[in-house]
Amino acid sequence: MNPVLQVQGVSKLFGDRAILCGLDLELPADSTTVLLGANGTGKTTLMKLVLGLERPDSGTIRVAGLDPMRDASAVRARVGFVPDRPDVYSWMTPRELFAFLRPQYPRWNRTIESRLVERLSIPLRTSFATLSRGEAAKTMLVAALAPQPDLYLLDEAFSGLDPLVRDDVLAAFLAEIDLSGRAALIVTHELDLAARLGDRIAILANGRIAACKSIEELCGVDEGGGGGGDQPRRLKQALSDVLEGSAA
Amino acid sequence: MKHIELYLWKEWRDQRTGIFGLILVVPILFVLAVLAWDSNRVATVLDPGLAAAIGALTALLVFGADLIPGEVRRARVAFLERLPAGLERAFTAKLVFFVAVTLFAAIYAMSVAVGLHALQGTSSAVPFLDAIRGQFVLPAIACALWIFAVSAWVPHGALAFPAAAIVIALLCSPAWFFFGPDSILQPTSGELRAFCALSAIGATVSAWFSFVRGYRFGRAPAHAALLGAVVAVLSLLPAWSWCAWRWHAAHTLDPHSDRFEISSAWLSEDGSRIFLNATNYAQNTPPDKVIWRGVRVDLKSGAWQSAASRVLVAEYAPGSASPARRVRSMILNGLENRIGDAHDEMVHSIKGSTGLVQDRNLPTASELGLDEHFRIQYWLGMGLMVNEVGKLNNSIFFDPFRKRTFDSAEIYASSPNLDRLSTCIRPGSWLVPRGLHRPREYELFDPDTRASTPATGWNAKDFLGPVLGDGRFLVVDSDGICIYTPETGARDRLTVRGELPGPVKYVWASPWTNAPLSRFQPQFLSLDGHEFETLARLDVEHNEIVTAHAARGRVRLVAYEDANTVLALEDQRTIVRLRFGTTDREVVFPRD
Repeated sequence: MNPVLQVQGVSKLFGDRAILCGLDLELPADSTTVLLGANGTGKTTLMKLVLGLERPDSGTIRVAGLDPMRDASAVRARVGFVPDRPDVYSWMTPRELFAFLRPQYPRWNRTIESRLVERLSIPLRTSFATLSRGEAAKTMLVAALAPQPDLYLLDEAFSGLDPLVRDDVLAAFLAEIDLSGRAALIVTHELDLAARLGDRIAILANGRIAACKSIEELCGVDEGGGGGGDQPRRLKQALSDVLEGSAA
Repeated sequence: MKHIELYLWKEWRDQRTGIFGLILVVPILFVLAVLAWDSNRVATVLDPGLAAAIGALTALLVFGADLIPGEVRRARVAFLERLPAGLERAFTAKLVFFVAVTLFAAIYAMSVAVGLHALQGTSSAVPFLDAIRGQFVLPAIACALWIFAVSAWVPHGALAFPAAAIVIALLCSPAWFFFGPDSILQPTSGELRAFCALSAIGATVSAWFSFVRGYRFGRAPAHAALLGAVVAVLSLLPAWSWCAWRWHAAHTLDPHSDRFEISSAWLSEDGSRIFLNATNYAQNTPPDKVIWRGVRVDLKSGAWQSAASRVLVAEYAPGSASPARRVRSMILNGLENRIGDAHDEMVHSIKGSTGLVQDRNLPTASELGLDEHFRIQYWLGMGLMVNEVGKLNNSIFFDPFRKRTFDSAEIYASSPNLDRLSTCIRPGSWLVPRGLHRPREYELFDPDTRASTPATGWNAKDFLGPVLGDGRFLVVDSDGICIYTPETGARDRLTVRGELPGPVKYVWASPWTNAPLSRFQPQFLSLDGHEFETLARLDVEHNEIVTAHAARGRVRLVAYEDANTVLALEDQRTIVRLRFGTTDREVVFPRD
C-alpha cells in the first residue's frame, strides 16, 4: 500500500538558515507518528510544507499521491490540520466555523461532528473570542476530524491545556480517529503524550529525521514489566541519545 | 464559483457591524446637515448624485481599503490559505463584496437624500447622473479599484488612500499628457473608456496577484506590494505604449500620414524653396493646441526638413506691388522672426498664434493723403475702412476716387436696410448689399447724395464676385461667368479655356487678401463648383478665364512661378504645381 505521506529529500531554507536538509519521511497507512524535536528544528515548517503553505527548496512531497504545490486544493481537502493555537476569526462561533468549513470538505461527516460536539461539550453559539482555550482546542479538533481526512496533522494541538481537559480531548481524539487507510502526524513536546499516541516516533534533528522507529524499537522492550508508566522516561532517554548521536 | 457564497457570508459577518453603522450614520449626517445649514447648501449636499458619491466614498474608506489589510493585520491569511478553497475564493468574495457594498452605500445614501427631499417637500431637481457627471463614473470606478488593489500592498487600510494616490500618480502618469491643462493630446471618449477599462482590469489583476500570490507562504505585505506593482506596471504597459505612440505621432511630421495637414505655405525669394507650416494633428486636439512645424521644401529635389516650431511670415502677397516672391525678415509682436535663404534657423517661435498678418497691401494713411490720426483697417472693394485713433466704434469709409472720407453711420442713417459693412467702394456709386442674408439684392449708393437705386439687371440667384479695376464685377450667373456693370446691367460673357468639370457656383479673388483684384498682376481667381475647385487666371483683355487642373477638394494659391504656372495647396495637405490652360498637375510635396 502506498504511504499516505511521502517526503523525500526535502530541504527548506529561510534566508541563509537551513531548516530542513534533505528530509525523508514516510507515513504508512494505519499509523500514528509522533514527531519529536527541539524548538526551531522545523517541525511546524514540515507541516506547512505538507499543507502546501510553504514551498520546498528541493525534494518532493506527496500526500495520498498528490503534490501539495500543484494540487493544493485537493491536498488540503485530504488533510485535517489542528494548529497549536486556533487561527480562526474571533467573531466566529463553532457552529459558524463548521458551517463555513463543511462545504469545503467533500467527506465532512456531520455525525462525527455532532458526536464530538456533544462528547466534548462544545458551546456552539459562543464566539472564539469568548471560548476558553480548551473549548477552542476542542473545536479545532472537531474541525480536523469531521472531514475524515487521509492525513491528520496535529501541531502541538494538546499543549497549553489543563490536564483534565487534555485527557478529555485526547480520549475523544483516540476514540474518533479512524486510521483505516489513513495516517496521523502529531507534533508534541510532551513525551507522555507521545508515548500514548504514537505507534512510531520520528525524531527531527539537524534538518533530518534522525530516527523513525516504533516505540518499542526506540525505547527497548519493557522486560521488567514496569508498564507504560516508564515509557516517557525511556523515551526521553532515547531522545537524548538520538539527539546526541545526531549532534556528534 | 464554488463556495463563493461561503466567503461572501464570511465577509458579511466580518463587516456587518460597519455596514449597520453606515446605515445608521448616513441619515443622521444628512439630517444634521438639513438642520444646520441653509437651504442652498442642503440642496447641494442632498443632490442625489453627490449623496451617492458620498455614500460610495464612505464605503470605500470603511470597507474597500481594509478588506485585505484587515486579514493581514489579524493574521487570518494563513487560515484562509490552508482551506481547500484557498486564497482565490477569498479574494473573489472580497472583490464582489467590495463592489456590492460600495454600490449599496451609494444607492442607500442617494435614497436617503431623495427621502429627505420628499420630507422637505422639495424635489431633487438634479438627475442622478447627468452627462457631465456621467463621464466621471469610469475614472471613479478605476480609482476605487486601484485603492482596493493598493490596500493589498499596505499593512493597514488607513495607508491605502495615500499609497493609492501615489500609485495612481505614478502608474497613470502617461495619462497626464492627455488630461493636463496644456495637453495637446485630448483623449477621445473611446480612449478614455479604454484607459479606464484597462486601468480597472489592471487594478483587479494586480490586487489578485498581491493577495493570492503575494501573501502566499506567509509572506509579508512588502512581497505582496512588489508583486502587485509588477503586475500593475505590466497591465498598464499597453496604455503607456499608446500614450507614447500618440506623443510621438503628435511630435513627428509624416507627410504621408492621413493626419498630415498644411496650414500655410510661402515661396522663397529665389523661387527654389517652399516654406510651410504643417502638422500631424492628433485626434481630438483642440485647434489652439495643434503643434505646427515649419518645413522647408527644396522644389527641385523634393527634399524637406522640419523645424521645431512654426514659420511666421508677416507679409506676403503673390503678384502684389511688392516683389511677388518674397519672404523677408520683419518684426512681429516685438520678436524678430527671420525667414529666408540666408538663415538655417528659418523659424523663430513666437508667443501667441499670430499667423499670417492681415493684408500687408494696405496703403498707409499718408499715401492716401489722410491725417496721421487715421488708421487704415481693411479694404472695402476698392476703397478702405479707416478709423480715427483714440475713438471707439467709429467706422469711416475712404473713397480713393472722391479722395475723401465718409462717416458710415451718418451717410447710411436713412438707409438702415443696407449692409454697410459689406459696402464695395468703387468709381462712381458704391455697391451695397441690401439685408444680411442671401439671396442678396444690391443697391447703387451715392455717398454724396445718400440716394440709392437698385443695381440694374441684378438677379438674386447671381453670385457677386470681386470688383475689377474699372468698377465692374465678376459675376456668376446661370449662363456662366461674366463681367457685370451694375449701372447698366450689361454682362460681358467670359469664355473659359481649360478644364472645368461642371458649372461654377462662386468666383473669388484667389490671393485671399481681401485686396482688390486690380492690385494683382496676373489676376488669379478661385472657381468653386459643386464638387470641385480650381484656380484660374483672368484675362480681361481677351474676355477669357484660363483654368488649371480642377481638384475635388480645396485648392489655394501659394505662389506663382510665371503667368502660366502656379504652386497651389490642395486639400490642405499637398503642394502641387499647376499650369493654366492644361490639366498638368505635378506633386511638389510630399513626393512618393
